[in-house]
Amino acid sequence: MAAPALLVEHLDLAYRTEGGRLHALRDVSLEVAPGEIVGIVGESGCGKSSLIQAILRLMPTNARIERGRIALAGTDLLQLDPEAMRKLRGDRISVVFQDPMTALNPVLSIGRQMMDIQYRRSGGQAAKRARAVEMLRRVRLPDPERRLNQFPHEFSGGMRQRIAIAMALMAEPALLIADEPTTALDATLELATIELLKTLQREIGCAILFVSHHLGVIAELCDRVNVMYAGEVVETGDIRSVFHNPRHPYTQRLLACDPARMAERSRRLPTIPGDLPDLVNLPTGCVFADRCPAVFEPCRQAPPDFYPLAGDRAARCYLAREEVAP
Amino acid sequence: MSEPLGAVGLVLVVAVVLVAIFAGVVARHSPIALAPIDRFQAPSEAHLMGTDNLGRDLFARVVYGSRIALSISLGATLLSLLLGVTTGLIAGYGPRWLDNALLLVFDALKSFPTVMLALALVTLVGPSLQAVILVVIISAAPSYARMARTQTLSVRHAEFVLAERSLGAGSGRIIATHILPNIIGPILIVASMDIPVVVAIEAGMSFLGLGVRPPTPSWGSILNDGFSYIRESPWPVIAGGLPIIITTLGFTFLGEALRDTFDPKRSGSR
Amino acid sequence: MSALVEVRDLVVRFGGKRSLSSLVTGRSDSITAVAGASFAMAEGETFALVGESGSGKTTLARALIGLTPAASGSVSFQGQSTLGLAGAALKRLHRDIAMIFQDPVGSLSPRFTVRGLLAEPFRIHGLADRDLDAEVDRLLGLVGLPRAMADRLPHQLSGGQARRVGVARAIALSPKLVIADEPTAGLDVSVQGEVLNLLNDLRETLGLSMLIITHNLNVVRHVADRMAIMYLGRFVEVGTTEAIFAGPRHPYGLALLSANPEPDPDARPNRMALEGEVPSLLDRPLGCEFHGRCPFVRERCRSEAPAVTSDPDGRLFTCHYPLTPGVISIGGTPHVAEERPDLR
Repeated sequence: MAAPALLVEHLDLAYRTEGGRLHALRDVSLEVAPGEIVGIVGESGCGKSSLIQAILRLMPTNARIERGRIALAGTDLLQLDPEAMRKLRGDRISVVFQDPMTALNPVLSIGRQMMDIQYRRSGGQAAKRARAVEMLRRVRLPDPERRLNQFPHEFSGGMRQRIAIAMALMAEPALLIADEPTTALDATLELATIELLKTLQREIGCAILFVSHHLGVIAELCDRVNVMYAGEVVETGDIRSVFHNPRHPYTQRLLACDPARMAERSRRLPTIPGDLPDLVNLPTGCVFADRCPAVFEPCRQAPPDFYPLAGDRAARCYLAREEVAP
Repeated sequence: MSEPLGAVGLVLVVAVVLVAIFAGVVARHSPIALAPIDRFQAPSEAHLMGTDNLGRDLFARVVYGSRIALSISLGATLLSLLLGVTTGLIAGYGPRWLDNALLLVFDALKSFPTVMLALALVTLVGPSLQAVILVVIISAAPSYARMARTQTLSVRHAEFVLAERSLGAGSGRIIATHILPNIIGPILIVASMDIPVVVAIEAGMSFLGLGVRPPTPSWGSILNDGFSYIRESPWPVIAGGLPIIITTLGFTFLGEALRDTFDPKRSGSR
Repeated sequence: MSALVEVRDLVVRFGGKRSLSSLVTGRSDSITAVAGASFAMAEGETFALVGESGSGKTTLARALIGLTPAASGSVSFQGQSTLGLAGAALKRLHRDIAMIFQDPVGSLSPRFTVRGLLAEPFRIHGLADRDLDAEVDRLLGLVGLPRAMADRLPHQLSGGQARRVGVARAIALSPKLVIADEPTAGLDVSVQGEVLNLLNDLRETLGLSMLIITHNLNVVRHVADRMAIMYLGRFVEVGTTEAIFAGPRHPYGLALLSANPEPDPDARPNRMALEGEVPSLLDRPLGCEFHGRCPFVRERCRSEAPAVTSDPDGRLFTCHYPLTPGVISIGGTPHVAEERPDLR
């Protein structure tokens, strides 16, 4: 059996801040099989940015990985020296961000950029250029030969994102991390971009870790999903089970809050009242206890483990523990 | 951390101010009394900093010189700020034609070399403290104006400005309460760093005979006189240079501490 | 039923710099952000302006409130024209129409405390002699914020809290109409409901009329009575929310509705995917401006711009070949509705 494209095990990450130690990630474990599309759903403060930075080993100086393991196709990333890690980025592991301008240099033509990033490949300029044109064609950019000489500002936001995707996938990485790639796009564009990602993924066969707070898009695209809250993975499983039969109260409430889910027009929209807990002074019990509609005795005493459920599912909730077969 | 440095800066500046105010008390001798017999004396009990080439007590000259230094540096800088920031705000927020007109004025003034400006002004006003202040204002105000204008231009389309306009706020109110406080921070820092430069302008002008006339003591002129006689005695140079260093440090530290208090994101962060 | 707001053929342009190149090409660089919008709002109604980037919805709202000048057309509020107002009359308008801006924290002046921000409307309109502290407390209470918030600065507020402050500021002087620009933008799903519920509550308790600008159709469904869909500065469809959701007549409306994936992995992809992107405002297509992306495009669409058609039920749309609800089958090749001469 092939090693998973990405394996994160019991990851703990904390930031040293003026106010104390901020536990941004606690006991985070997830797995992406080769060729699989796995989603991370979470709202602000859930730790998804910290997780991505940890995987890429591009964390701010005050961040510390205190425990855990991150492996890319079998290679332990935490053991690599910076130079070895650098070689992996852009080659075996690529990223697409929310703002395509994160990937695009405004003063270079896109052709120049797309050829520059091929520096690892052998071959002459002509071959690299041809590859760039081919990639642009695959992301359905019209008139790629001519547009290769244009600059990022001459493209619309949607096109820039497609160029960023083209650049990320050109090296045919083992893993593509997509961090809210469609959040800044209009709805019709978002749809087109998701369709594009689906198609490309089928063709190239890379694994995708797709991070978003947009539940509808996750449902469309992902095979499996992890739900994060305040630095922990609270639920994981295949997409259908989690969305149809969520086991963690946060997942249940999150799905209930999504207005796209409600068939009828309603006067009062559901919300999750309360605020995120303080990640410097964590509560003693479950991190969701204060906002949980199903909170009971054990919840406030100690944080629950990640209890495995049937069929590769798991939930970090005492209610889930009750269901685990003895 | 800027906090203790800011305190140091404040102490230094306050010290200079107090010395200037109570110059008569602090200095025990007259700054202009000549005593050629006692020239080039080293520091002693009678003359804390020694004497200059004309036997005048250097300490007294330095102490009285602080008045000139402060009135020029603070006065001129304040006036420059007032003039510069106001016109910059108007240029940035007002109509295009006004902006273009004011820009012409700013750039024309800035293109004058300071020395030529000084010469021209002195023929109008005569060599004096006022001439120095005028030169400083004309040199510094356009820079502040440019800074204020650029900042105003970037802030005027900010959403909070639009929001206040939608509430019915007039231009005057917006400029004074919503734009000015948000742009003044960096300009004040630059201004506080300019204060030592002003002292240098004064020194230069005094050297050329365009500034304060002898025997009025100014740190710049003490320094300049000292250079001429440095072979005879190092003390005049030290006496002239030391207060400039102290004042520069004081204002710089104070300026940096000021910047931190002006940045709302740093104050009261919870 | 007298209309609260009536807009007729509103046109808003930007730019129009005269450059050397424009003299040569004959093309000025001006863009027409709003190209002739007409609609009416009744008192107590919630009306939604829906569109994607470049649709002109924010520009239209800003023209309504007097922040952007209009090139032509008319806007009347409570029977009085609002265009070209200045001075005291404009100020009066700002008491009656208030706006909540898109960026929750960015729309609050960074050095003002919440108390100062909420007191601004009173100060601006010469009402500073009222007990401002009491007013601030009242407003905080109305939007469900604790009194302790009053001394915070904008950067110390969360997105949701800042949004509430924006709402409180907008209702400070009891306006008749509140314009909310993307009220749920930047907010997590679990918090979006709070803002929408708040707006609905205030609508009822204060008798407000609301104009909501959004690209989020899910929001529209739950808060708006009527809606208008904008494309490239024009209205392509106007009608009641329910009717449009049940069956849009304009193909762009259908595209928007289908671009809303349900969080249900089993949901049949009932969608109409659009090709291409929104054309640049500098280069408006000829004929029907949507023809380049419309899956139902026919010859006539490329050369002739459709006129506004109105339905017996009050629906307005601009399309030569409007979709007929019920006839369309999605999930396969949609059927195009025949031209309806009886409606012209």
